[in-house]
Amino acid sequence: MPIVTAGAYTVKQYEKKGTTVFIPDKNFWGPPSHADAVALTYYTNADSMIADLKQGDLDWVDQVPFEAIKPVSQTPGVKLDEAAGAETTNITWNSNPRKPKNRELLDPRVKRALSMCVNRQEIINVVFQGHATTVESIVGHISPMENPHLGPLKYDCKQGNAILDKLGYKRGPNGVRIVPATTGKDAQKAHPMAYNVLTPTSTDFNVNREFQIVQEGFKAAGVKLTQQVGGDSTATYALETDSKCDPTKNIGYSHFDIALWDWVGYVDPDFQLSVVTKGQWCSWSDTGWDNPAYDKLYELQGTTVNPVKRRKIVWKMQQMVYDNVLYTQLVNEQAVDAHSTKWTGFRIQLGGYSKQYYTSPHKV
Amino acid sequence: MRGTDYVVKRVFFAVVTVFVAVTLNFILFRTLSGDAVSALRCRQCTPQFKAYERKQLGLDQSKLKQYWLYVDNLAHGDLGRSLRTQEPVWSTLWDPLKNTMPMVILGTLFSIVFGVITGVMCAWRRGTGTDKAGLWGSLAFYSMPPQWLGLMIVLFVAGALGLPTSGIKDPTLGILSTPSTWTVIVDRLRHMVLPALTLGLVLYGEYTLIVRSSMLETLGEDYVLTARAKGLSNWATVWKHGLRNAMLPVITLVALSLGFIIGGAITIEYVFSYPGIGLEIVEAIDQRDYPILQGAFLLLTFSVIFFNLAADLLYFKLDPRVTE
Repeated sequence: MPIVTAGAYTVKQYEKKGTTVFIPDKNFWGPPSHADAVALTYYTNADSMIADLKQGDLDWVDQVPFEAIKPVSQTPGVKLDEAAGAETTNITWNSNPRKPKNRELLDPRVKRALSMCVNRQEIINVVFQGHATTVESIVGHISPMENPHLGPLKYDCKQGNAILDKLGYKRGPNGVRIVPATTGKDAQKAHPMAYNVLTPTSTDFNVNREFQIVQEGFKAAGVKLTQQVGGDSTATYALETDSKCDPTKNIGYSHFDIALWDWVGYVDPDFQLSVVTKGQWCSWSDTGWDNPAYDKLYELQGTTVNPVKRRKIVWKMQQMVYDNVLYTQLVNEQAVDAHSTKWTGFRIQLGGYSKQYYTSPHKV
Repeated sequence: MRGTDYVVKRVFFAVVTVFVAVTLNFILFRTLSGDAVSALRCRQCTPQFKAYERKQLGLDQSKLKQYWLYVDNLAHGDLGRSLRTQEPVWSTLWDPLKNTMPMVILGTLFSIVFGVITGVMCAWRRGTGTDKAGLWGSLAFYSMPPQWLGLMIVLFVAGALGLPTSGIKDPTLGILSTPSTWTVIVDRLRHMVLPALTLGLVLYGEYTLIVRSSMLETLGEDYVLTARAKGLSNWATVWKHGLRNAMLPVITLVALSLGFIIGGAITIEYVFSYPGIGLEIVEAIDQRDYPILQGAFLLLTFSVIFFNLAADLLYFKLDPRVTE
């Protein structure tokens, strides 16, 4: 202490999972700082954080919980800022080409048809209180390299049902569709379209309510979903990948079909595009997809310097992910921050860990 | 010799319980899906990297071998090292424990004082509205989940009293100026009050019921009747003669509760973002940091067993009828 930094403040005190205090760096080359000290506090409980904001003990809050946005907006002396956030929620489809069961879910036509029965606007209204937008691409609205030509996925359950009927998945006596028996390699017995959906407990939104909306949509399509709470992110990920996951032997991604989760993207799409490569099996990959052509494009975009050429490759990759329905992207969350009206200079567009924090807070 | 037999048996039983708890601690955490290495998700986390990490952390060995290694280290007083930070477990747990202990002690004091007062009042005013209100109030608080009660206090009490709802101290204290010792103490107490109050409210019901029951028994004794006949005041009768003899079960209850209270503080610390041992355990669970979890739960186990043993020995000392 003090730690050398490049900004106007230096760290004076650090507490793990507590409060880190910054004081002005007297030797900073730029304009002088406006605050005598800045304390960044880690809250384990969002309700305490909002209570402290309302009481005036906090001057700024990063990501107001969605259910607290309305009461916070009505608090005197508090202002909300909102912008497109980095987080997108999705239906994750197990896309491991070697998965042993329920192989009908490898068919993009089936996944697309089912996705057409999910009311994404209802998810926006109910789960995110209106503070989200629909999204099609895996990279999300935060990236300027988002492909704008994908979809959009229509909410049209009638058409979704028609597609499933045409593909031969007839409804059984209880309304649940039946997958006919298949022969040859990867043969399956006939079975109902009934699946478990893994949900982690570690999301920052109400995933249980989101599941209910997805479940209703799939029910309208003649598919039965049951929620399987996976536990924290470590436990859920272990259930997705299997305990003995090994990409060199193609072992893994055998025991789950569908999950509901989210991604927090970056401005540069490289990371988000990498999560569906074979190289991220048993690490960041949660779909188990294995497509050598895609992996080649991923390597190519990483070494393409010309931005126009790179954009073309990146758009093509997003199209591949979209066409194969590795994810059904549901919503792109809004980033909603709140700050005391006694201070100004907070720029939400530069917040979040995908961009550099740069704020210049000063008194009004 | 009866007394010695009693002590020896109790100590032996405590040692066996510790051994069983150590073994269960080891087994239970390994039933969770994933381990410290699978919790790692990074772009460089290739299978080779993970295999190397597993070997470094000893996770590639059989469970039985890991267990014997753990017991052997424990016998030498070594709790191991955190899988995350490689710091010794004891030094990792010490700071959070130092934060939790004062809060727990304050909460226990709240519950004892409030529980004894309400228990005595309920017994003295048996059958009246005071008795019913005291009983129902204590039962209501006793049945409330601590995390829910904590949340209600955050939402409705903290603001009204102007008390902080998170952390253990004012973050800027000592940064812009040098505070006096008194200022530091007051600041720490202000941050401790609400979590301690939550703990106290949840627990005082136990003391109310025990004290009430014990007082009713005591107040019916002949010597209390004698005290009244001698013209002693109600105060002297109740507090000097009645309560002193009714406190025996309370002393035992305090000893027994102390062991469990530290575990119960986990949810309360989560609500108040209080950086104690509860939060440390939650983080260790997220990261599957087995040595930290084993160390923390061993501490909790020791505290329960130790205070149980202390309660048994104290009871034996205070009431020799125990060995008969």
